[in-house]
Amino acid sequence: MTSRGCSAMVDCEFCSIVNKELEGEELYRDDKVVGVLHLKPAAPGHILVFTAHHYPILEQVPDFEVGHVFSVANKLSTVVFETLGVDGTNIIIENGVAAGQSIPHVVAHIIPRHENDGLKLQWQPKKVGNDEMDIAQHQIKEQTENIHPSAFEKEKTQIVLEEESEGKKGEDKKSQKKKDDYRLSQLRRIP
Amino acid sequence: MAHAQSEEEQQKALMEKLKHMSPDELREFQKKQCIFCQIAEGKMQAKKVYEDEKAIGILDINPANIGHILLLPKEHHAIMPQLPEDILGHLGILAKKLSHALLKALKAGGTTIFIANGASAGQRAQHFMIHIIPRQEKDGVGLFIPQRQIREEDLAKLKDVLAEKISGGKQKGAEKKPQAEKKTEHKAEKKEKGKPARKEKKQKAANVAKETENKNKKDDVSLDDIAGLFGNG
Repeated sequence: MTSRGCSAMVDCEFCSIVNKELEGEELYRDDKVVGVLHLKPAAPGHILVFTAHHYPILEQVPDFEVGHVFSVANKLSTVVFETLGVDGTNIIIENGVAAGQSIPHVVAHIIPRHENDGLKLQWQPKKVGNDEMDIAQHQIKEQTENIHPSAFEKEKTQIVLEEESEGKKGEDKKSQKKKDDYRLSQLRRIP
Repeated sequence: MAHAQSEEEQQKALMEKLKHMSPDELREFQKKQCIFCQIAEGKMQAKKVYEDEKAIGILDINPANIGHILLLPKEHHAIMPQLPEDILGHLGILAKKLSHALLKALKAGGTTIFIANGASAGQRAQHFMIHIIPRQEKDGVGLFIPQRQIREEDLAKLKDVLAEKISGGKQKGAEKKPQAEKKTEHKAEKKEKGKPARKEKKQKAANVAKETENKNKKDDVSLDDIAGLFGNG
């Protein structure tokens, strides 16, 4: 179960596009995200923005990379506005199977919208009692108490160079690596 | 009748006033009309679940599911492209953190992060916000993104139009230039390094993934369980 995160990389469609093993209709690429046109779009111009690194769900993506996904999604959404003459866009992340996510690699959908386009990207409000709301508020608040903006993971500017030979040596180093700062490890991957 | 006319006149006067307002005055005016600004300032009650200097998270009173959070910048911005970069990044990170909070607090099976730009996309308020909706399988929320067929030539045409704009073209876009530069830089780098770099990259990425796993193990809600639900993963 736990090894899925990395073993999935091998047959992950998005990783294959990142690695250029699979050709996508690529629109944007930097060291953290890739943007492609969806081959089976909800509407013409439907763009997928996914992380360059393989993370199954949003909670696993380091903070600064999440911020970047939103920033690029916004820029591409603006481009859609400017070039395709649409009335609106939706930006949606389906996070987890229960939310409809089908590929275990974090991706944001940018969907161009027109009046009466027939897309049902809307929900019916549920009737919830005040007591229920209060309980939910209390439960959620308990979990948000330890969110501190000052502790958000930032991208380190200096590059950490590390000698790393291929194959077995890399394996040996794994245990040592675990002790390393998780954030530093993010820099070791080559864009 | 006379009353209706005066109302019309009032409307006209207002429109005229709006026309001559400076951007700052206009923002101030919009702010006064905006209930979410009043919530952010504490002038109107809401079920707050998170607050910091720049942002506030409240429960939606018309939720798709119980625990549906609206995450808003405190500053008034009507649409997403108007948001300063740092605020958007901050909200993005908070969306992740609040999503995590929902998984833990409500034992949600997943979350939908939803942004609507424009009325036709479902934007109801003139104040930018991110919806974070806790999800369970078969919860009836809908929000199903359909997959439709598109002709290859249409796809190619779209790609050309969008790619030209993204790469900057000749037009304005001080904002977009760095992006374009990055892109070409990156390409050049790729060419230089070629295959060995790719191999190294894979290995390093694998290590990072391992570490992600280790980090997640410390969590009290098992993200691995949620991440491991994918049928063919």
